[in-house]
Amino acid sequence: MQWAIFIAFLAKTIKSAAVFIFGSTGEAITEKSGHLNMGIPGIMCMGAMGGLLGERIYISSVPATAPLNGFMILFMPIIFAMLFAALGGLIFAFFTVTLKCNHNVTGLTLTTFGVGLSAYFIGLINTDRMGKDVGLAVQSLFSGTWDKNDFFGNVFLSQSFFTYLAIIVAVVAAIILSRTRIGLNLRACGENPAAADAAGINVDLYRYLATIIGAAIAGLGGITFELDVLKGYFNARDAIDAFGWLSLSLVIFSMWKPSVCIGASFIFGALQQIGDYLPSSSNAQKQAFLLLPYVFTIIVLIITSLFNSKNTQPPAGLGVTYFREDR
Amino acid sequence: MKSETKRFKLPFHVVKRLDMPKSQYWTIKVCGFFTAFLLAAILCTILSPGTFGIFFERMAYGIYNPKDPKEIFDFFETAGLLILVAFALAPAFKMKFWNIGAEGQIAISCLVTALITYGFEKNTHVSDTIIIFTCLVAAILAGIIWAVIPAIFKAFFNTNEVLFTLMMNYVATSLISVFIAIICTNGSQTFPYLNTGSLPRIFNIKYLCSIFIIIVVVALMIIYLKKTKHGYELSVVGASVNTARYVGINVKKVIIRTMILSGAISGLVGFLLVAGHQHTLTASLVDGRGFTGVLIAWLGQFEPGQMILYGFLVAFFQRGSTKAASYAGISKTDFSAIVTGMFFLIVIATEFFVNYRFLVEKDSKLRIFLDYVERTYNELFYGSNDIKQTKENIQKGKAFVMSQSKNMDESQFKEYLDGFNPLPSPLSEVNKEVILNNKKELLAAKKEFKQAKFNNKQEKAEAYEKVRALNNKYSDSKLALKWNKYATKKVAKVKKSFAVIYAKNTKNGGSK
Repeated sequence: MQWAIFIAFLAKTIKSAAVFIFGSTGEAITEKSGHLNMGIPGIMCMGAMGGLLGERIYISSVPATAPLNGFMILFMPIIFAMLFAALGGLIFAFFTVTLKCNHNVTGLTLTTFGVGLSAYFIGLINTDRMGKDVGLAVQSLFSGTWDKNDFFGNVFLSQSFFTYLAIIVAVVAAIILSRTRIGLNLRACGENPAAADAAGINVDLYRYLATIIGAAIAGLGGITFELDVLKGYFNARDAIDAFGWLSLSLVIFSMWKPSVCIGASFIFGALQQIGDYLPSSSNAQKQAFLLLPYVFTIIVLIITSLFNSKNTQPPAGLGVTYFREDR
Repeated sequence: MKSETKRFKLPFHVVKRLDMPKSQYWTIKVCGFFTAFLLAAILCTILSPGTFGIFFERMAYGIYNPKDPKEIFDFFETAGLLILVAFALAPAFKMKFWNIGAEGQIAISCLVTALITYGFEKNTHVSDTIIIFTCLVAAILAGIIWAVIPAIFKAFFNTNEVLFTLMMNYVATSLISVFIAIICTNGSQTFPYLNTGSLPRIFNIKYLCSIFIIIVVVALMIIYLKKTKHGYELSVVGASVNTARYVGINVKKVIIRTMILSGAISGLVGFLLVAGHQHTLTASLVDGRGFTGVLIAWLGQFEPGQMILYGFLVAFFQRGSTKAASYAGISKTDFSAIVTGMFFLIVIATEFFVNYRFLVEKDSKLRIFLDYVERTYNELFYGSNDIKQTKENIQKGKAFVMSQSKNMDESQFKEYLDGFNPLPSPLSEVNKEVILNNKKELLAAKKEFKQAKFNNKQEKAEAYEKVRALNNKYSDSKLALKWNKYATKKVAKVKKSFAVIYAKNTKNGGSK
């Protein structure tokens, strides 16, 4: 029986790790371009709102008794979540790139705005069919039932499309950032925008794209949480922004490396879920486990600054607005 | 060779502005405030149709509610707490230490206050005064500890303070959840209401005691920032760390000292929140006040007057939108968050227009259009397009007087003043009689045009042209009179001001 609980815990860990992978990959791409996007919690909320809206649009277009199309169930929320989150990213990019406003201030405002907006609109979307049909359909990509003690089947095969997508996106992002010319240019924009500009890189364009694409990926985290982790039984007061802040700390924790982000996400996911699966754990213990990721992040932050190695530092131009004539 | 591709080019580019007149600055800001206000009203109408007019009325209720006049103290308390947070952050921001950890510093002192009061409450023999003072000291200490940890690491290891303080926020907030879970074992998940240890009511008005404390602390902070050596050192460190080191300021000491101050005031805010406001502990007690304080301090450019203004504005938007939402049947907290977020976004956007300006390229269509607008505007308000050149000449003259007045004796200056003429073209000789004559001519021509009978279209057109020429002559003469009046007045005024500058400069030179 213990073994079965452990397997269930691992499966759930991977589920919530997917949210972190989306959030931290998006934020890492943005931060690599030199933009500290503190609006990521707000953007994830907006993504969740958009995704649910898309799902709702699809459900209302189908007769009440007709079965739902498995492809459309996934397609609509993903597209809408990315659209709405990209819109949030566009707002952030417009303020920080074009209007050259302070990153911290714009990000914090965007979070206030996004959380309020999504809480209001998510409250309006009814959950009737969402939990019953969609939540179940989204749960696992491969159809089939596995024995409770089947490690491989339960942990790796019973995951939803979102989980696999998260890992694919993170791996692709890691490869693009570290192995391609586009990634090199992007990192140049983050490290030294003036030099990148002198080398003929369109810094503004790169920063715009990085922010918008990063936001779109982070937005997928929001909808993953609502449809996959909560199984479609969502609520206007779901703490998606907590995932956003944790994603922010994850990027620091993984020292701005998307490849490390994947592994670190599992640690954060495990800490998030362990309270539910430990036998005889009190509520206080459960809350204390939720506190640990932040403490770990602080420790990593301190250690990296102590060793002051070049590979583990934030991008040199992080949080600095670039204005060509400032040189 | 690469072939040159034609790229779309904007007809303007952005340039940094060096300084801006105060009047222009506030015009931009006030435009921003009203835009935010209007957008909030429109949003309210979209979410709940037919509430556009009432929205403004309900927003005003956020400050003064005629049904309950005492609510004005609620407004002052809301604004006061936000202002206090901003003042806690301003010294740190002034030295470019981006302390966004006020949220956590407040939360941890809330936690300490609530726990101590809870502990004392079981022991019924302790008087309220002792509880309040113990809590106050403990809360301030807690705030200091929470603020000083990142400061030490920043000072000695240059750890990124933005990320460090951000994480400290969540550690504090999570600690509140942990302690609530520890204390509430009965499953109710809410912290018990604290009956003791609350601030006394002055004149039986809620929050008045808090408001007094806030006023005193804010006044002290204004003095600290503006009048003391410490306050000046902050600005030096903020401007350049190397300069500060060079003049012998111990930067590490300044960072830690300032963060102690920051943490202490944040701790006070936490104490006021529990002892003066909520009398209980919840995970969402701080409710983003720390972050709002960051925004207020930054938007107010760390200037006391502006921070106070923004504090009141944000309190107005928060409370007003809550009232409006409850009338319109919209979810209160969400609508308030949306409206406040929108307000901040718009005010942040106005910052761009303060710091940068557009330079329109020569010979572009936009330039031609703008010139046309400017000409029309000038003719409408001053009577002539000469105003631009005139103003430039006045500036030149002023600079000349400023720099050269010490080298001129009185007769030379008089000569210069007599010869000074900023107008690019001489004034035309118009007076009221000429205008009247023109008017008479025009009226006569109009009458004639109406009564006359024309054989063909061409004849009619010619006659019409004549009338139009007269009309132009009349309106031109009117504009010329306007311009004459304005220009003569302006020149006289400028000459007077030049004389004042001259007198001032020569006096100072003489006393040396």
